[in-house]
Amino acid sequence: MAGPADSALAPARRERSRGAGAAVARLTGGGRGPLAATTALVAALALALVVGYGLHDVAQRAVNGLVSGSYFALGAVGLTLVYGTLRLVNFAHGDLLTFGAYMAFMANVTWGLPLAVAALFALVATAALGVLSERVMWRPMRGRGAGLLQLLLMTLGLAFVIRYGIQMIWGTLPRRLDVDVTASIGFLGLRIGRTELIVVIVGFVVLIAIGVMLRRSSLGRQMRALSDDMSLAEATGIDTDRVVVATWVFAAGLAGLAGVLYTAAIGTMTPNLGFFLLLSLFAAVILGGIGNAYGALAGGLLLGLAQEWSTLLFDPRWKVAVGFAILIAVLIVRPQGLFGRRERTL
Amino acid sequence: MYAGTRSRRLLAVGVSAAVLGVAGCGDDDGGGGTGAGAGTGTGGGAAAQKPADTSFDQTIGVLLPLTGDLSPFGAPGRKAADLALSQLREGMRAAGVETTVALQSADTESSPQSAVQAARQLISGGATCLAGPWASSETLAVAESVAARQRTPIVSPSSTDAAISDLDDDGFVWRTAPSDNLQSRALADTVEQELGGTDFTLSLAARNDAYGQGFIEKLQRAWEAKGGRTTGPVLYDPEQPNYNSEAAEIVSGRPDAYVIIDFFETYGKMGGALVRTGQFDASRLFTADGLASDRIPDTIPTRALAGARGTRPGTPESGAVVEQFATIYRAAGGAPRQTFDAQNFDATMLCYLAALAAGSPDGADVAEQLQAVSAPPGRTFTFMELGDGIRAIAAGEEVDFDGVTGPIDFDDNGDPTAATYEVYRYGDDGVLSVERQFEARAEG
Repeated sequence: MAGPADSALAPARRERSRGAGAAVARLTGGGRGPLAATTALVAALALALVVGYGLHDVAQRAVNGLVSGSYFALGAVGLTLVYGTLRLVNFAHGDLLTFGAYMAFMANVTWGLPLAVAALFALVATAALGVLSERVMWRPMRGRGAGLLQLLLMTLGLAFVIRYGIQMIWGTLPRRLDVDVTASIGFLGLRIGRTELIVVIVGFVVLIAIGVMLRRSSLGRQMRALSDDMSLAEATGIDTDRVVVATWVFAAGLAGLAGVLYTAAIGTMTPNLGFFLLLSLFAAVILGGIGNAYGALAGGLLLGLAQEWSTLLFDPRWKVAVGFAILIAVLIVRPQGLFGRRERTL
Repeated sequence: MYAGTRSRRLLAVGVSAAVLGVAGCGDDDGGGGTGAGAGTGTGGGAAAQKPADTSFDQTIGVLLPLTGDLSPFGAPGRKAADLALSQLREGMRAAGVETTVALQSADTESSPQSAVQAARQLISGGATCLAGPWASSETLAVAESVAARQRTPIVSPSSTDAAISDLDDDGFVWRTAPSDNLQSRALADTVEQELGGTDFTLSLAARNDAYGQGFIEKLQRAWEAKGGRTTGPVLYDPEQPNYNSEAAEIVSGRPDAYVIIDFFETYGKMGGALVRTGQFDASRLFTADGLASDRIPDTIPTRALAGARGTRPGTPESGAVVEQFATIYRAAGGAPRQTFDAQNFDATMLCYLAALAAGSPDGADVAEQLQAVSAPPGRTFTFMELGDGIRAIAAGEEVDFDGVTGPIDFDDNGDPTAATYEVYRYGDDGVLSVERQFEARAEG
């Protein structure tokens, strides 16, 4: 119980006797009940909106929500992985997105590499930054049994260091990647930006792949074991160091990729990009159930849909407020999030 | 440990010495200032008899958006202030007055919070009159929490929000840029002329801040007063991950034209979303000063702005003053011309001229003289006759300074009463060209 991971975040109490089957169930979203209920609710809402505003408008807003939701989900999955495995609430996560975007800017615009190569470069560079932060900051801190508050403040500090480091090098002027943000694709009378479509596809593929990886691969099993109890996992012969590094590679690498895709789709980046997204990423994570990879996908999509559909009913400038009002309402009904268990899950 | 305590004590001694020193200077200046201020202030419209004190040192603070949304305006603004300073120094030499002026600039990061911080920093650094800040939201923030409270006048070169006129600011908030009251009517007139009538529906949109919302609502009223129709306004948050739904709403209903009030940073994202709707046509877009620049920046999709028309405060087209300003601006090298550069030049000049008229750089005294030196009665002069003007002020005569941007003539709210506007258009190559100019005067 005195394991370093547990001291990092107190409220999570692990259940003592859980079989492998239960662990799998937790990973995939903790039962079908909430999923069915949420789907039904969203469908009912969509139907009501269609009656009020017509199929086309609702469908187009849904497509827009899907796009926002994919940004949120892609950005959020790393946040949830790091929390699930290491119990670290990483406020620097948004700035990892920014870092990725600027790495891609350097490769794509300064060096003139194609965007796909630049995105790959950004993914690797951001993953390296994640591993570096683990080696320099998080592992020593865990070793000394640092408390929640210290770790939280360190993530906040790291966030500022990254943001202002970027500002020092590239300034605060908006930058863009070498990509045409105006191209769009029409289907069934609906429109979606070409880069936006790529983001949606990549978002779904990556999140489902992460989910499957956690469930099927031996690395995924080891990550889940760490999430249950790090010292116990270590005692059973798991190379925890390797697993933690792998977690950072996934979490930070995906954050970098999310930063690139987001910038490519929306058009411009500034050093504040990740900072402004961070709150939405947290919202997606908590809405879906913290520590749950599929939860991040579901939470992101719900938040995106809620914000965009709200523009049918309210002035668009209130869409952020509406999204977060729904978050609060959901948490009042289900404090553990839509797909979370009462205790931590991965 | 010991060393730490000791150095801290040394620091404390140093600080208190500095405070004493500053307080001492303040007393001297304050004494002189109050005397001269009372002499000219209570005289009202009558000419001040007593020659002004011409031996003070003034620090003018310059609040610039060197970074953030308005960063394209930062460097040209700084250059204009520096030009004003060198002109002032030349003028002082010619007039033989012994005052000294120094500029100190600070970055407002285009954000109200940082602007307040920057203003406080300049004032604690000795500045007693501030040229800037630029964004209306910054000016509103600085007006409330710094200007009136610390009795230091601010002269914004570019804050055009109409709400600034009505501020309860004790006479400490001024601007050389005309109010949006004026520009929104000017833009409505321009749209009418360009479309050839008012029997059209305009789709209105703006960023959700003091500038965007204030402007678009005034324009809506002006257009509807002309008998035209509008949809919207769609007000959008400047920090959104996605503007597709807003864009869809702006283009819905097949409007005859669009009016969008925004800055470049947000429009880089909104513009892409508008083009993606497949229905947007930038040649039917009208906009204002916030989206005016030499050429479309590369962060804006060209198709989102090429062909768009708009208004922006300009400088009178012809006249020796305007040409002379353009000449010295060009000769100085560095940043190219930018909207509001001349306004900042005038703002910086006025800070000094008012101080000279007051015979004191003290903030309250400067504020009291700003209207007097900018408006009739009195002998008119421009920066080309700066030596004569300074000599006249130093001799206690009344003057009326005419800026590069026009006669200025501050009204009781601290707004210029007349302004020149330019109608500009972006070509297909993304280069801005000015199509014509007109003068608008405040009503009443």
